[in-house]
Amino acid sequence: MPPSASFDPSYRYDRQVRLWGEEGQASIGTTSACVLGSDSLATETLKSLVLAGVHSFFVVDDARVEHADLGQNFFLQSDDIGRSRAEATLEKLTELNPSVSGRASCQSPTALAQEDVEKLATFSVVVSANQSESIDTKFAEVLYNIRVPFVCIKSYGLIGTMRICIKEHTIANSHEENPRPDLRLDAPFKTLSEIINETDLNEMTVEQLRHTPYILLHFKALDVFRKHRNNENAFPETTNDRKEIQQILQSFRRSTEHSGTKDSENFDEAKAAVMRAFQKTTIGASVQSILSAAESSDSTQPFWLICEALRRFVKFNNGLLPLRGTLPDMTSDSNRYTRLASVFHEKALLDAQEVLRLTREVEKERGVGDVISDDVCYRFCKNADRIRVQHGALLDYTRETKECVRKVKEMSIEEQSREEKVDSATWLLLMRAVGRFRKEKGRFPGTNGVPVSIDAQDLKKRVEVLIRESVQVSSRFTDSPISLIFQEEEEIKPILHNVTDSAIAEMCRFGAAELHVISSYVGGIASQEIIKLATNQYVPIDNTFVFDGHSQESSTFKL
Amino acid sequence: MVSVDPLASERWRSIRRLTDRDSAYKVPWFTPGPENFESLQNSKVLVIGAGGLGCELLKNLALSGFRTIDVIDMDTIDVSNLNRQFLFRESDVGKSKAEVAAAFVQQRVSGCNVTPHNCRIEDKGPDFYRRFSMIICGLDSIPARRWINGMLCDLVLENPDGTPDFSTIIPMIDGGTEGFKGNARVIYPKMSACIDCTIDLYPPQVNFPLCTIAHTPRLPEHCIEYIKVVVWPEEKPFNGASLDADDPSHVDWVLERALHRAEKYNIRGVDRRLTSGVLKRIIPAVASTNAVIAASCALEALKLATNIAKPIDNYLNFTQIHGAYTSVVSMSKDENCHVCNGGRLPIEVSSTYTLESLINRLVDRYHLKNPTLETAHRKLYCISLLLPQLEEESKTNLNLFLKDMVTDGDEILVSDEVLARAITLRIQFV
Repeated sequence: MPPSASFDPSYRYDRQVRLWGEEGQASIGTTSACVLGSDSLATETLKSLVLAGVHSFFVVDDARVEHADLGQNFFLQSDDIGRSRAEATLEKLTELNPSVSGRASCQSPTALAQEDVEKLATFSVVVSANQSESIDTKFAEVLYNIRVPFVCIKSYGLIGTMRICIKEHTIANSHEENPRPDLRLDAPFKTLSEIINETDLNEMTVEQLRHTPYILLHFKALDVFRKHRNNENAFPETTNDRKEIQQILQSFRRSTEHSGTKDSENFDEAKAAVMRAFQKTTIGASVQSILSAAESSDSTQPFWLICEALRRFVKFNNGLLPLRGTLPDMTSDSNRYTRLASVFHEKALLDAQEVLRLTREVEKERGVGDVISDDVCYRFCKNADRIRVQHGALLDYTRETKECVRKVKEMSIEEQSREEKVDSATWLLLMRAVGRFRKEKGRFPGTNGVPVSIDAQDLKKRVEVLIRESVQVSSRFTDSPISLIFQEEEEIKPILHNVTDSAIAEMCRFGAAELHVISSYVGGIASQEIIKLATNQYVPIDNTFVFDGHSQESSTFKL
Repeated sequence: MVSVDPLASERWRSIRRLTDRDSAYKVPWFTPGPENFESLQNSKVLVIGAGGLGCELLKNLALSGFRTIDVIDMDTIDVSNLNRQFLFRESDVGKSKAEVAAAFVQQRVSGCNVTPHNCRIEDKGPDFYRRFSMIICGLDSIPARRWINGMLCDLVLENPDGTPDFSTIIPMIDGGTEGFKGNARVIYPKMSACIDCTIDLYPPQVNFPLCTIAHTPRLPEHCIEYIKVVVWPEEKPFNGASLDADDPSHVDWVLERALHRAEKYNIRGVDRRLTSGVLKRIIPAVASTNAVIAASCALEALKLATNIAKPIDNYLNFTQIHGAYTSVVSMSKDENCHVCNGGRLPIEVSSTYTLESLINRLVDRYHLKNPTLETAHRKLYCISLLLPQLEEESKTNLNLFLKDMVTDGDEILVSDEVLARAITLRIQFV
């Protein structure tokens, strides 16, 4: 391969640009990530971000490289022992992609937390890798208010967790799999109506009929359906109505003199597509609420500018969103399919142009220049029926522990399986208990040569305290102090019963072990979530993810 | 109380916490102690594929304490690998993946020996594969998976009572990714569901019908396929060279003509990226999914080598488009699997069967591409450039009744490029 082609930067990213497009790649290319920590969880997360082509990264850690690092961190080697871990990993991470720049600081995340955390506003995302709860809390508060996404990840023994903390996240392209096609069967636009009116199934030869794209068959079946009802606006609403459409379609079929069979692919496709295609073109509740929010917003963020334009468009367009403009593939001769595909495409362009014109209005009203490009507007309109907004919650370990306790309480575990498998909520609660243990004892359970059985008892006490604290608040309205204590005990017992001694002992067995494979797993998940945040594509985890390496199962909670 | 952590300055401290301590979630025969980690360090593992998954697997295994790793891959490094195959640099483009990956991991992780094999998996025989205590695959090809699966099933010997001899079972861990989706599975050859037991999990390759691409194209892909399938063989450009999708001048040649055809039919969307995608059947790939699936596979390898926790039973699905989702399902062994049954199976056929109906059934059942069928006496069906004289007879045979060609109890040998080993079917008319 000639060098010119081999070192074309776009070719380096070819396999991923096929997924998130040039626009996604461009967003990643402007992303800067700050990572608190330089252990293998931190470097595995950074590895996938550097490979994906972020703009830059910043590693913050005061740790020095020890022997145990060499058994888990791939971005260190023997002669790094004693060096600053942030600097040593930085060197090896930047080798992964010449277009990414990196910096390292030997400051501890704790010291950084004492300073002006707001200076982190220049980063697109901040990641906390295996930091203490107090550091997480400190950063979370500041970053939440300056709207910088904060991703807290932990790798502990066979358990991995992630908490994404962001006030608001907008999604312009959710990449929903198999979205319902936007065919406008109930509201054909003018150029589409022209094609339908020109089409007469009875005049066709059998050969032509069998190469008629099914969308035209659908419109013709709808005509018959309306005649049956004597109502030119009738539209199939129920499953029975749609079955009637299928019967009408069946009646259109003709056999050839030659073969005598009525089989034909386009009719099969037409029948199969009825249930999904015959849906009224409406705006879903979540998009509706985004549009209402857009009206009252004065945001100058591109998403909200364009949403307000979208709202105005819908108002003047009979309550319809811009046309998506992609015609699903269907059996057809070339001519009729491409003609239909063209009218869909052209109408989508027209709609997008109108949205762009309205966006210019909104931009002017909100005092910003031409923020939205043609391209951005066109792509946005194509996905307008699937835009989303996620509303996050501030990281608050007290509140979230309470949530975990509630989940553990609500768990119904069969007696015989309670020793076999541990629920994700239980692991999460145990992670909190380990955090409490560390805060109070200055070390992790199962370390320093203390027998696991002794630390297990200590850890169990902390589980009990966490449950007690969570339950206490919820029953504060009870009047008598004695009945309160009694009630509390009654409430605590079943919850504590759900946290088995085996699970508590397992946390102590881990003894703060950071297994490379668990870090690599969580790092992979975290980097992909960061890419979702950076590109406003796909749907991020909302907001807590727990991975259990024992069973390799995972769960997502909204805490 | 002053206690000392005996593992405080130990390089493998983290893993040894798990191998040296007891757990309620261990495999029942696990006994905590340093010998668990020792046996892990002494086990020999083979990684098949040094691509997106392979690079991750080598790193993960080396950092799980494995010290003797072999890696096999026939490919060379391309620039488009660099967005995820993190053991390679721009200066490595064109070199052997296995060799560069092995040298990198060996240099980075001291004490780890990685031996590269720059060849096809088929170039190695049973004596090579028998040396490993487990095999971990990061492949993008289904035929290659079927081949190694067949090899490992063949390596399993039977006890006198017909049960498998456990000491000859080499577990296979298989990972696969596509975009933001992936899967990982653990296979005990002849004991649990193998690749061919569950061959229907793999979607058959989508091929556009020739009549569509030739006469009624409507998608940009149809235009590109037409140039590839019809125009290239007719015009024989580049002095009759066969189409090489890695050669940019070949891609340009196809692109130019596909654009022309698309314009003629008023079809939008032919561009260079789509053209190379169709020609090479490119599977989109990102670093993150490969990291997740390779970590899943390596975690299972760690479990198998140490028994610190129970392995998954037995097939894991992963997707990270909408949130992140994993599920583990237990795939059942297919009692009629040709691989698990040593390639010899009875087949019931109706007396009205033609050869064509049998072939269609076999292609569907075993995901075959271009099967050859023969009895002990003659070839029934064989379409091959090497044996053009058989083509006409084969096509005539298609319409003949099976009962006029073979008798009850006769055996038909079915071979195909996707099969590791031919299948012998014993005909039973019903």
